[in-house]
Amino acid sequence: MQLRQQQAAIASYRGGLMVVSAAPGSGKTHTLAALAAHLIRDGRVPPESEVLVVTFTHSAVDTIQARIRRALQAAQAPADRFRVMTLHSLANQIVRERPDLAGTVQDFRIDDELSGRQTSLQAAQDFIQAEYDYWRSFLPPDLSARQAAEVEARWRETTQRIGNDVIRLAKNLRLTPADLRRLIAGEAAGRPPISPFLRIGAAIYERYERILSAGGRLDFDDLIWRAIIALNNDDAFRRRLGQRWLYILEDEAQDSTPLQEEILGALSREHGNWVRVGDPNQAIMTTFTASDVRFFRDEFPRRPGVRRASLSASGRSAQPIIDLANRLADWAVLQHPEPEARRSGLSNAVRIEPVGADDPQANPPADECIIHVQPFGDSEAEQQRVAESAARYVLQNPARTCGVLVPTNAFGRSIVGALQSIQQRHQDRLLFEDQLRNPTGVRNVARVLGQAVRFCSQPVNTAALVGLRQALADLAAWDRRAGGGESRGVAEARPAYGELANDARVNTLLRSARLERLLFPQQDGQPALPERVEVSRQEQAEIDRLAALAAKWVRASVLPADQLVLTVAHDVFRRDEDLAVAHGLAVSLHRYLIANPQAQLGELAEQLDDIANNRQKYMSDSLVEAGFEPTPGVITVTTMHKAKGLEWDRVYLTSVDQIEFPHDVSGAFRGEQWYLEGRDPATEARMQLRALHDWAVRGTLMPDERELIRQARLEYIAERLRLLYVGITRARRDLIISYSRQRLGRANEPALALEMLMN
Amino acid sequence: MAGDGMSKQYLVGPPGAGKTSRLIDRLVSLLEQNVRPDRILVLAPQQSQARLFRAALARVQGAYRPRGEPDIHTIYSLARQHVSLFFPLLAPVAGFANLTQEPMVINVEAVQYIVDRLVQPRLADFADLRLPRPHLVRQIIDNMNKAAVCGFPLNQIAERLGAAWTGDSQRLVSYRRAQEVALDFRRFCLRHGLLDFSLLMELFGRHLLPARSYQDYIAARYRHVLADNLEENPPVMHDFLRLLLGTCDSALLAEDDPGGYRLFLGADVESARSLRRRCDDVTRLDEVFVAPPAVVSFSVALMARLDDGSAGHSNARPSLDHPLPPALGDYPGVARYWTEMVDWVVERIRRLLAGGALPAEIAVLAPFVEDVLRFELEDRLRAEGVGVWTVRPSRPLYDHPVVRALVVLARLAHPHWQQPVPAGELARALASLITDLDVARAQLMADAAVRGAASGLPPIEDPALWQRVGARFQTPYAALCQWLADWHTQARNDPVWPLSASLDRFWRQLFSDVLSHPGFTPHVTPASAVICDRLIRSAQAFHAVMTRAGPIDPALQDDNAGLPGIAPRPLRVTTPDIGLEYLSILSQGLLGAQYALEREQPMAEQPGARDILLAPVYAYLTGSFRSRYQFWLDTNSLGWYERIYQPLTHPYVLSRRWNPGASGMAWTEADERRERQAMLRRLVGGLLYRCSGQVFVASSRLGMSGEEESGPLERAIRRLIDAA
Repeated sequence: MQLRQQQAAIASYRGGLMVVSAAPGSGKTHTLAALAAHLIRDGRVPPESEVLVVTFTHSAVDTIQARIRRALQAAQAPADRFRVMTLHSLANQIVRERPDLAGTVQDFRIDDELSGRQTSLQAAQDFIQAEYDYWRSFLPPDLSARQAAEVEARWRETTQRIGNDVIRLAKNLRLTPADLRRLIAGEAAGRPPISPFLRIGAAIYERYERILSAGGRLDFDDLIWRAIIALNNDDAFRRRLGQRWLYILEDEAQDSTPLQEEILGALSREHGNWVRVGDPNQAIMTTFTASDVRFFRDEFPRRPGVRRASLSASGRSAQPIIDLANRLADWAVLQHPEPEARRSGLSNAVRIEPVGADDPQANPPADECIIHVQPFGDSEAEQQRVAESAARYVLQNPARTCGVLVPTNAFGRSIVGALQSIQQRHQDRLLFEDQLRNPTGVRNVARVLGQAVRFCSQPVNTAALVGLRQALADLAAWDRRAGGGESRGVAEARPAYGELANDARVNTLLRSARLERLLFPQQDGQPALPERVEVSRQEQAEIDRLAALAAKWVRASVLPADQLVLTVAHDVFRRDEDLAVAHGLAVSLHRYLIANPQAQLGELAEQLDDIANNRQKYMSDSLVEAGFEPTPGVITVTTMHKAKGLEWDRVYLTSVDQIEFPHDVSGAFRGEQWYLEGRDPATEARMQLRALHDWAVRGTLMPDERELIRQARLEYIAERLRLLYVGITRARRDLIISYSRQRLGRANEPALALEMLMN
Repeated sequence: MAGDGMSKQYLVGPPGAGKTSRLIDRLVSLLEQNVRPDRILVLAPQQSQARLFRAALARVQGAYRPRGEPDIHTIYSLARQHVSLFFPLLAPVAGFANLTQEPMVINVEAVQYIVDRLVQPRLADFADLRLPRPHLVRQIIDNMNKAAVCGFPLNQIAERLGAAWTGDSQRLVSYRRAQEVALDFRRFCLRHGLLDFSLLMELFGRHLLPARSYQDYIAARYRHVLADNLEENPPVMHDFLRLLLGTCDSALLAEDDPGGYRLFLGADVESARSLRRRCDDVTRLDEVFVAPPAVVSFSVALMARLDDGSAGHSNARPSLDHPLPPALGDYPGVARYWTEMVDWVVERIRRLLAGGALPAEIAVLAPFVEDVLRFELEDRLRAEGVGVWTVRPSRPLYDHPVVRALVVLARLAHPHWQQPVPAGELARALASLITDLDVARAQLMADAAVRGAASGLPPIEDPALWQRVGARFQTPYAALCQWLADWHTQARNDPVWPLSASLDRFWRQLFSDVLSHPGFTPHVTPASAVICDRLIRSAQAFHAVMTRAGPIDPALQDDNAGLPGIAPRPLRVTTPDIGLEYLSILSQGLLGAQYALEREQPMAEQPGARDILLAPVYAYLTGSFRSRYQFWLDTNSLGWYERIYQPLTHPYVLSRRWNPGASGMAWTEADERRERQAMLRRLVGGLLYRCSGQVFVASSRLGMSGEEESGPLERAIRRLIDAA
């Protein structure tokens, strides 16, 4: 394994606590893999032990695993003394090993994105129904009927978000609903009143837990919590696992949650071999998870005996882009107008540095680098012109990658609309991929599986069979177009379903077929297709192939639906990432069926369709997780959040304005609801819960309501600074930043940070 | 053999050493020596093994029948018979409310139902647990059964579990709550004259065995005793034998080593071995007739590898007397996906068949056998004309398509339950009941039926449809419709026969009038007839119990005497509709394997001539199978290694040798590890001794449901292969 000087220094780690701050593109995964391999190669890992690498995504698991294995093979070292897992797999393994200690059983039931959405929705609805008058009293009284309906719908969504946020944070603080109730009820002199939003969150939490426990189910946070319970319930068990995982290497540690830190801390308590690698400037998950970058960035490194290291050399971006990112960090730390945001936003402790010119991954040439800031009159113009520019770029540079990064899905959808009309003029090649909500790969897989399940629920419905065929054909076509790029071999992209015959004719034939005869021919020799119609050999071959698959799946439909889905998946998909998605969907359907035992196949097909059509989120937090890699010559349209972990030759950063990147706590903020007089209930509830917990545990002062709102805004300002930093550091060669002078019907300004960077 | 077989002898040896044959020889020899047949007792661990002895008797039957027959029993059937015989003696000591009415034996379904009702109002008491309610119910039942077969009272359960627990004190509260439910259930049984497995075994072990009159009775009754697989039996069975060994003329007892696979049912190897001291001699049989030397040496090497305390991690080279290849088929490594593993297995099976192997010589074994595995094997082997015979004693009834179909028909026949049947469900039901009907044609019929009537199963008068579907399906469909209509009329006109209370009768009549006739699956597939039979018996027993227990049970405050420290709680078991209640408990997934001790299967499924065997490892080991080729699937699954961990029960702590109250009785990580290793060794040894040819191992990194797998068996095998 080739290592740079800094990387080699870290890979020579031999034990103890270490925290590594890594700049974007500095090769932290590479370094982690090398570190693991060195420990094993140098005989520091006895046969009964393993190096445990904990990462954020399943796809990272595969990458790191392959790298460590290669390094070990090259060194002729034992190739089985390491384990790479996501945190959930780790917790899953601990609970599965001793479910009795965790208070559950081997085949414990997990709620995930699919089944979990229903649980939290139901909990919020139960609350609203039970407390309707109270709930309604938050809304302005003098609304027209139409306004009222609209506002109620939004307040309903917000209420659900309050529930989700409070539940997640409460679990991360290891508070049961009863604990939370006690905490809220606890009186103390000088304690400010409890926010009604936190009370609402607590009430939803109680209902949510009741639903989960009636079904004996666990959500993902419960799973980690239960793993900690298991470790605490038997110290010898905890020590044995500590012995097994003699070294713990944690990737993406900036997004670590309190529960994650607790579990890794418990496992490493005796040996203390825990390496945490992350980039505090890329902590952009705090609004989605209970993670808090302060522990990784500020508290952990101050622990006694913690070694600090950094990875600053990065070959990703051209020098001017590196300079821009560093300047942003300096400004945020030294000159940000909100003094508190200077501490909480970005860190300039690790400045990105280019690698040497002789490095195999040298930075792109500085003299070719384009950095351009483009104001537009309004958002429509911005969306249209960015789409045109990006299209021009990929048409002229088919070997280069290009990402259009947007702040919100709504903004991105307009860009996608503009790109669609450009695509009309270029039928021969794929110009862009809409990766806004669910990744394309996930949607394609879900569409095929959904159509297959639907057909199984209606095995004599010819339209359903045509729909299934269409889904298979679309997949094949997408594969072919996307397969033109360098990252996918042609053979690999060849669809398992086989070659397609003439679309319209085959569909007509299928529509007039007798499906029972086509799928399950009887001895009577009755024809399945209409007689007197000529069927070419190619058409017949395709129909036979389709019929054989469909018949097998209909036979398999006596199996539980998740197993049917796996059967279909293994007949259709060939690429690893598709199979991985299909496996994930099967697991989710299994969980959905446990939560909804009466569900029929048709209902499950709808769930899959909802994913295919972006009505239901699935694996949508990170493109990397869905196995996505940018394809040269194809524009990726996605959000800045999901772009994490990826890079493109050219990046368009859109809407870099004061709405998306505020700098002043007194302004107007996203998430704040006009009908609630500008408050952001979910954030307020979360902030107060944290404060309440700190007050109860550490005796810290509790801020009052005004202070809470101010802190919530500060937190938002800080996270958006990091988001901008993430956006900038996605670019390798070119960075095009844009904003509109008119947006949402108002005059608009560029983000303060952008103005500063341009000066 | 010493003294013409008139000694008390203990045989021990690996599976395939000929122990059962010796037992059968002894049985025949006793008969030939003119011993009175009815003075002979044969004890087998389960009914399937008892059949071997019955078959042997049938072969020599002509000569001895007039003088009576030997008693062939499992410990459960013996206890049941003897408790019934001595009920007048037992009733007062046991505490039955009614001393003259003989108690009714209740099946597992009814037990589960009643316990479930008792648990429901107390769910909040189990605050530290998060598990599906049926699991909670099962563990409570499990504890009662273990206490009974090990011989300690119900009110010691919480104390024992608590003494072994090292964690959070909330768990101690849960143990106590679970014990309270068990005690409530016991009171319920005593009050209503119900006899569940635990009460039956407790009466037998704690009250009958010590009774002088009973001891005299068995001393006179049984002069010769033969017992197979002692290690698969619970201590109460060994207690019985200990008594008998003091008085009988001859005994031949056999123990399999490695064995003890039914630990979770209370089987106790050490308790079995304590009988060695009561015998005149102990014979060790080491010559193995099933496994060839190469397999035995592979077994020894693998067991040693698992023995080294690091689950296969050591670097020491194992010693192999024989090279690996003859014993172990080619090794594919760990596949990435589960289906890749299945592909490989199917490919190897094809090769074996092409090479002349018979399907019956092949067994596919996995820690857990899911339907999808069966489906994939069946689907891929169909071309070879090979079928798959599955042995899954623990499979819930409701998972059988025929059972689901019968439930659908019951819902159609009982519209007042308001459980409408969607067309898709009806189609699958028709397809699994009518011979050769596929789901597509069934869907056409179901669509027409649902169009034709809001409820029930209407006649379909549509010539075009029947022309399309095929006239031969019209007759069975019409028969079903007509029968359901007749049933409905009959039930409506019969005031003493309420519709809802007669589910078993409904199914029984449906089976004998319709389903057992040509045109229906049970007519041509014995396996589905067996399942129908099981369902009907289960429903019948459930109905009988519920009828006796009555719809509403008053509070039990007044009869909790003798149970100190437990506050009485009001019990209310309301059964608005027994049939509907039965369906609800059925669809929750009934228990199977855990109560194999009591399950008597009057009809057994048999494999077809062109079937390979597919079985969970434990079912294979306890079912006395032998195979030439074994495929071990999912070898990197923890399922090979784990006991069933449950937060409210514990097979070791609730065993006889575990001594509560003594210091240092906590169940530690070291205990856990030792027992795990021991169990895995027994498992591996047991499998290999049952293999007469080759073993193929296969695994995948991602399990069937996509979870990542990694376990010690795969590691141990890989090390062995690397070393060879």
